[in-house]
Amino acid sequence: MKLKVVSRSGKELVAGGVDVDASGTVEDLSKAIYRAKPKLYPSRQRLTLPAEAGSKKPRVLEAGKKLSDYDINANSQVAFKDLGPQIGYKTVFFWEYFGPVLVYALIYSLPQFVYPWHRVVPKNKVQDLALAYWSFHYTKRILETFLVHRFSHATMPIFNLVKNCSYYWGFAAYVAYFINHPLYTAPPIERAAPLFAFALLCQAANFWCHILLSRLRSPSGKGGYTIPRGFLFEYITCANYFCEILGWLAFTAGTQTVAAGLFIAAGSFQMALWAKAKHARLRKIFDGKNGQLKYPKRWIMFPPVF
Amino acid sequence: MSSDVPTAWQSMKSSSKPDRAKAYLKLYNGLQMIGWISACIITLVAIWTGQSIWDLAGFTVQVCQAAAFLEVIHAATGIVRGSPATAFLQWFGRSNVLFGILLYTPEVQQDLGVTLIFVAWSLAEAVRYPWYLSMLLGTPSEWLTWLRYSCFIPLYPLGITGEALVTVKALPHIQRRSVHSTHLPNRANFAFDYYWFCLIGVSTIMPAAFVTLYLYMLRQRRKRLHPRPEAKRD
Repeated sequence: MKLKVVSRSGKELVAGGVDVDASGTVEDLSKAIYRAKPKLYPSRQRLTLPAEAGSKKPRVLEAGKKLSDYDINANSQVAFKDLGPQIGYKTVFFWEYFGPVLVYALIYSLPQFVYPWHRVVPKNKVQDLALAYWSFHYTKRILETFLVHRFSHATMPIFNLVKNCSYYWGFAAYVAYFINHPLYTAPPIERAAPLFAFALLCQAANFWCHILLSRLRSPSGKGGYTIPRGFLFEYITCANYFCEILGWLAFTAGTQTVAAGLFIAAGSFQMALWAKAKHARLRKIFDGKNGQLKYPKRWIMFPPVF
Repeated sequence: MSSDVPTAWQSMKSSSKPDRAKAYLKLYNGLQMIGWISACIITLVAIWTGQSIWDLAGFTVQVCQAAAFLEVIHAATGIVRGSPATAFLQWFGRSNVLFGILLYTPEVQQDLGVTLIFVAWSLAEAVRYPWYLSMLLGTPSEWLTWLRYSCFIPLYPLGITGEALVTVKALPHIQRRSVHSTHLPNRANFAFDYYWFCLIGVSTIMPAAFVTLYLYMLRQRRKRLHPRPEAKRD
């Protein structure tokens, strides 16, 4: 059949319609568009149907489904949106996490270039611990990206690479600058060491949260939404964020550095927005009606305040 | 920097707004209108009589600008559309010049820059707030809308020139007295150099913000004063 695919301006994307088998899948349609428009590879495409009565949001066509699942026939009209050039999630994650390791290590090891107006002084134990923790943390994130995380989307817009890298690399430089400064005032190691140990514990807990989350999805990333269960998820919707924030608070106290506090403040703000959205989505899906499970009462991200 | 928060002009008109919020906004915009018109008159009197503008109008402008922080809260609570972050940045841009720089550098309080700033701000706001108010009360008259979308053409450049002038002239004093700055070493391991903050602000952020806002307002002006007859497509 010839399917009419229109862009947001109302213009037909492929004049005369896109040729696709009526019994085909959404992927077949994506590939057919790709054949007609070689610039628009499938992950760049967002295909939707007009909103159903009573709903404001258009229905997004999911790659794994059949066209017949959406009652698409020769008379249907599919809306198309170009998401722009895409880049793999794992690529972005690797670069945004590898940068901080590199930046921090450089600032730690090359004080004569970073602080040219200061005499180089030997590093304090707390500064060594901070370097170790920082490197461990981002190495953990890189390993998780490749071994643990399951992504529901394979790609994201390419601009995110620039945005995310500026955030992570920039904050890495900002935090490292103060912690490795020749005029750094270290807290006593007796106070710093237990705090770092606690931060490490938080990282372990965060890792466990990530394992639990990845088990909710099939290896392909599919699986829709499931209620996270077990461990801290029994109390908090985004327990992984809770552990992460707690760990960085301990790092801030352990290094006694305001810059680290600002870093976690910015991160917490972003995580709070994500957590709020996820909590709302889960509560909406699991409303306890029509045989659907009821989402249990939980903290969103940070008991006992949020 | 101007405080022309890019709230859609419809935001004030929205009929779905609860009555109490609407009544409050009328009061707020009414008070700001009175405040800025007074600031405007006092500034003009000061210029006319050759007195110090800062000494005469400084207090009024400070009160109005401090009160304008409420606009960040309006955006955050949703009684006015628009992003609270944008609202904050625009409030902060002006407040930094007024409370951060001018209040702490008496050396530049009598500068020509202050004249430019006070004239530009108070004239622009003495038009903007009445326009908002009449938007809340019904439909503003054509000439008021024309003023609201035309005043900025000379006033924005005037204001930004004043702000840049004041900042640049205050820089040496800020550096010498280490205004709003902390240096290492300290127990919080924190350093902040207000001199650099202002230097980067005046050389990069201020011009960029000005161009963005000016182009935005020019587009708004075209939209509002010369609306294209809309041909509805199916």
